[in-house]
Order: sequence, then C-alpha cells, then structure tokens
Amino acid sequence: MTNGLYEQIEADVLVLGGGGAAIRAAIAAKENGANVIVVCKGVVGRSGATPMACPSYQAAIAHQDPRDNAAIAFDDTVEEGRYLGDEDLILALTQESSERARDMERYGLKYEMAGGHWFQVQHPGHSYARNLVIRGCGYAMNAALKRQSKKLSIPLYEDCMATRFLLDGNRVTGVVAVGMRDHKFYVFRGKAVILATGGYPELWEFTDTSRDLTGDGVTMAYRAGADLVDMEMMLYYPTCLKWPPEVEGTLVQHEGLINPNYIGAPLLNGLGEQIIPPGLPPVRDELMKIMIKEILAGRGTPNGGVYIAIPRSPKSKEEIFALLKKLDSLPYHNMTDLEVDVTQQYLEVAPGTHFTLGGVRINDRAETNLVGLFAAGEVSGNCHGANRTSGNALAETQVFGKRAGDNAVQFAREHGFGRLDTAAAAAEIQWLQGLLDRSSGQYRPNEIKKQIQHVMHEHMGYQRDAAGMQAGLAALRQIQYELLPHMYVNPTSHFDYEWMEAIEVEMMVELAQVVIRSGLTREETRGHHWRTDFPQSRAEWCQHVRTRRGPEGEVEISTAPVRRAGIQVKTKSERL
Amino acid sequence: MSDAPAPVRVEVVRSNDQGEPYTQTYEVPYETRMNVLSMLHYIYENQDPSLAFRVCQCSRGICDSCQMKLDDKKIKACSVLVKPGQQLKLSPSNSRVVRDLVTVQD
Repeated sequence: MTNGLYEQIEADVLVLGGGGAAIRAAIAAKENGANVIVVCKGVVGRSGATPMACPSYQAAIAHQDPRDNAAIAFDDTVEEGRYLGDEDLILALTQESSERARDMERYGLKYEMAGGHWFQVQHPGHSYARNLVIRGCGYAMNAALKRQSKKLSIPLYEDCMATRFLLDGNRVTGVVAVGMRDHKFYVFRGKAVILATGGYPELWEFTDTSRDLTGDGVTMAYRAGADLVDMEMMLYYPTCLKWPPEVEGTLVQHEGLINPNYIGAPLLNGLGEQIIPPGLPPVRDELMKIMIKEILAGRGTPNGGVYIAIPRSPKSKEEIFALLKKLDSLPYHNMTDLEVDVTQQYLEVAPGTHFTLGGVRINDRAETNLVGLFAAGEVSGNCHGANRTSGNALAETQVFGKRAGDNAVQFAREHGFGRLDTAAAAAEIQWLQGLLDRSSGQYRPNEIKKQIQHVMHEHMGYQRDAAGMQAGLAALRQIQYELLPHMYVNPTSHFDYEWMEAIEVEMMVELAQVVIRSGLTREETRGHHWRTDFPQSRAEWCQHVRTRRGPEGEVEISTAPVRRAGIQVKTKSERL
Repeated sequence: MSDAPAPVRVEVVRSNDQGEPYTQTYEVPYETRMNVLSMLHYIYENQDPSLAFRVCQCSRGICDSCQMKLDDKKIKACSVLVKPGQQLKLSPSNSRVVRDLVTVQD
C-alpha cells in the first residue's frame, strides 16, 4: 500500500538489522510459520559487526578438552562479566550456544576441525579450550545465515535506514524508514518487532568497527520509552592498529598473536620492554588498562600505542604463517595486501571501542519493556556485564536471535497489528525530508560527527572521572544546541550518504549524553568502566544503572538489581 | 623546494540523475599512506560531498562491501594501496549501479 508519502509494508514479524542476531531471529520466526521481513541499514552480510567478527564462537561442548561443560562456561562468564551480567541470560547463553552452532553447521557454516571433532581454542577468561574457530570468520557466518534466509524466501530490505519507532501506547507497532537507493520513505509494520541493530562503538573516535554502528536502534528504542542499562559499559578491544594510517583502528587478534601456545609474540612498550609477563594474556579489561598506563606514562610507540612484536616470536616464519592462516588473527591477508611483512615489522596497537556491553534491557525471552518489541544481540545490554570474553558475542547472536524469533511469533499469534500512528509517521517523514532539504548552513554532518567522537574519546574514554564526564556533557549540549541547528546537507537524488550522516548525528548526540550520564552515576570502576576518581569496584554498585527517556527528553536514571540464577559460582582461581 | 610526494589523479566513473555515466577527475594530495577506500573517504570529506561510494564496513579486507573496479579490474578498495603520483580510474563493480560507485551487490 502506497500513499503519496510512503510505502507501507506489513508482516507478522518485522526484524531490524542484518547481522547474526537479526538473521537468526528471522530464520526462527519463518520456521515457526510467520511471515517475516528484514530491514537492514546496509547490505546484509556486508554491514554491522558480524562480518568483521573474529572467528571465535563459545561452545562448551568439550570436544577439545573433556573437562569442560556449560556449567563451567556459566561460571566463567559470570565472573568475567564482573558479576554485572543477568544470570538468566548467561544461563541461556552457555547452555544453548553449542546447539546453535550446530544449526549454523546445517546452514553450511564450517568450523576448524581436529581429529574428526570441532577444534577448540582457549582464550583469556575461559577455563578450558572452548571457542570454536569459524572458517571464514564472522563474514562466513553472516553469509551462511543470509543464504539460509534466502532459502526460506525472507525478503530483505537493504540500504534501508530505520529512524523512528511508531507506537500505540507503550506498544511498538512499526518503524519509519528511508530507502537510500531511491530516497523513498517506508512504514514497516509488524505484529511483533525484533530489534537486532547492534551497538554504538562509533560514538568514539578510535574504533575497530563498521561505520554504520552509530547505535540508531538503541536511540530509537530509548526515544520510544525502552529501558536501557549500563550504557557506560563499552568494551575496548586491546589491540587495534595505530599504524598503517589507511587502516587505523583495524583489529588484530592478540589472542592468537600473543599467546605462547600460538604465535607467542611479546607485547612491548615504545622502549622495547615487555609489558606483560609471558603466558596467557590477561582478559580484555585488564590488558586494556596495562596498555593505557604505558601509553599515558609516555612509554608508548610513535603512533601512540604499544608493539606486538611478531618478529620476536620463537616460532619460524613458516609456523607463523601457518598459525595465522588457521587462527585468522590478521586482516588484509596477514597485512600483505598493504605491503606490510609482519615477520619483519612490529605492529603498533592501542585499545579501541569494539563491542557494546550496555544497551536495551531484555528478559530471557528477549522481551524489552515495550510491548511487542524484542531485542537480541549486541543491541541488548544486560547479558555480558562489565566485560565480555572472546566468543560470547557471536554465541549471543544465535542464542537470543532464536529466542527472539520464537517468542515474537508467539506474540504475533496472540495479537493482531497494533494501531498505526500515521500522524507520527508523517511528521517523521516531514522531518527527514526537511533535513535533506537543508542545503545551506555552517557545518557538514561529518564535521559534527567527528566532534562528537572526539568528545567521547576525551571525556568518556579509557579513563573517566566526574569532572571530565561533566565537561563532556557540556560539550555535547553545545554541539546539540549550537552546531546541529546549523548543519546542512548536500542534496543528491539518491544514496545521499551525507543525509544518512545527518540522521545519524542527530541521534548520536542524544545517545552520547545518555552514555555519559550513566557513567557519571556508576561511582566505581568495574570492567571497562574505569574511573580514576573511584578506582575500586564497590559491592553497593554491583547493580545495573538504568536509563529511560523522561517526558521532557531528560535522562531518567534509576538502578536495578542484577538477576541471579541461584547458582554458586566457582571462580577460576577456586577451580585450579 | 619541497620534495613532497606527488598528488594522485583519480578518474571516477560517476552517474548523473538519469543514471547515465560521466567521468569526474579529482586530484588528491598524498599527505599520508592511503588505500583506495581511505582516498575516497578523503575526497568525500574534503573535496566533494556528492561522491557516492560504500563506506568502510568490515575494516579487515573480507566483506567486499567496497567492491569496485580499478582500471577495469575488480578490487576491494580497502585492500589496494595507493602510491604517490599514481593515476587511477575507478568505476562501479557491476552494472547494477545505484549511484557513482555504489552498486547493488549479491
């Protein structure tokens, strides 16, 4: 159905996103007999975080090490999350991840094998060798899921950016979206809606992620009245390239490079001194802090990082390249595409934003507090807590993607379509069109985006304190009220990336303030929230910081207890 | 007398509002190491906001979102280094052109 303003498209289940969680949810919903449509900001399988994900997938199935099991994986995940993750979600994650890995095998995905069974590696934070190694990394995983969705004839609306939820009271009934290929407006309507649009690492300047991860879905949910939790929790991946400049930010997988069981390259400061003892590298938040301390003490490398010194590995050149091939630790064909020989040259790396720990709050049915809105994957905020171990992100997409798909179908069966707020849809479209028509002004969206990213790097970066965060809020408010009104967009007939950046920026400036407000509230250091003014974890802060949009647009802050599963958790040191 | 690296000359096969191809040439200063994709980002940010191309996604050289043709040969723009003084011709990766270097991909 098309009126002059938009085309309206309806389905039982509407899925927003295109990565691991979104497509798994769509598959689950379709397999349950619903009709499903997927709306993705970019090309499915070539956008978001899943295609760039490292090959690790947590599956405690004890193929490699018979001592392992899901209960131990549960304990490890709770402990490594610094006791902030909701344990009902962690239980689901650790119990169902192996089965979901088998599903993907059925879709044609391949894992590294060893002696006829799944090859598994031990990464920091895991008690035993537990992570599957996906052949072809996250790219292959997203591709396998996309192939399966095509087998099931699920329509994919690609290059289609959703901008606002439509509501019927506190029920989500659909979204307004703009198709970038032709600048056409859409209203997508679902009896149930699944949000799987990923996180917001692009709010910061130095990041290893896809440029489209500006957190649009989180902001949309927030504006619709969803509860967000622990928004200050952004996982820094310790080793992102500081050189060469054309690929600044690109992730290199230290788990394979530094670990003495694999390549065993030492981690050195700018003076050539080893900064971590030989052995299994520390977990991500600990490693990040060690590196940042070196850099801030003036012992960094010329481009502001530390060295991964592969030339100093005890392995031979042949062994190194064989391991690199098996573990997929380096990009661009082990840097050879960029004419860098890693066996001759040190890599300079520094921590970058990588994975969003906080986000939309869900229960173990993947339900949010908004009726009819489900959320799965990185967009959700209460599974991993304050730190995440390698392999749990991809596992999360599959476990909660399926749960969201199954439960969304049940909801769709029990409810018809909600009332469509056509006035709100028209208002949103008028606003979007007005943005494209703003052909004169002072600031390009890209300039404003860079300013927001710089504010977050400076004021909500590796180390945080109250004065810095307050200054960050002030800077963001200035951007919002003094720069944004003077933003202009160079109009083109279709695929106007500058228009997309304008829409992103308008959302980013609000989301960034929610992140800082949440960070100011948590007066402790826990995992990736590192406060120099509150350097210890505090028992009274072992709880969620919840943020919700108030009636005047203000950030309403409250706390919520962590949901416990009633299981006595054994820490790794207790186990040994 | 400066011995700065020579600028790069890029000829891009673009498309107008009717979808008809035309070429536009850019001269890009060689200020820092570049790959084809980071060079396009430079042009968009500093010279021509209307230039359409798919921005960097996977940052690893695998997703092929940045697919296009360099001198009529298909490449991943992020995986090809640009050298000082180089002359390049960039064109869309296939015939399903959305605009400029953006195509509909499988």
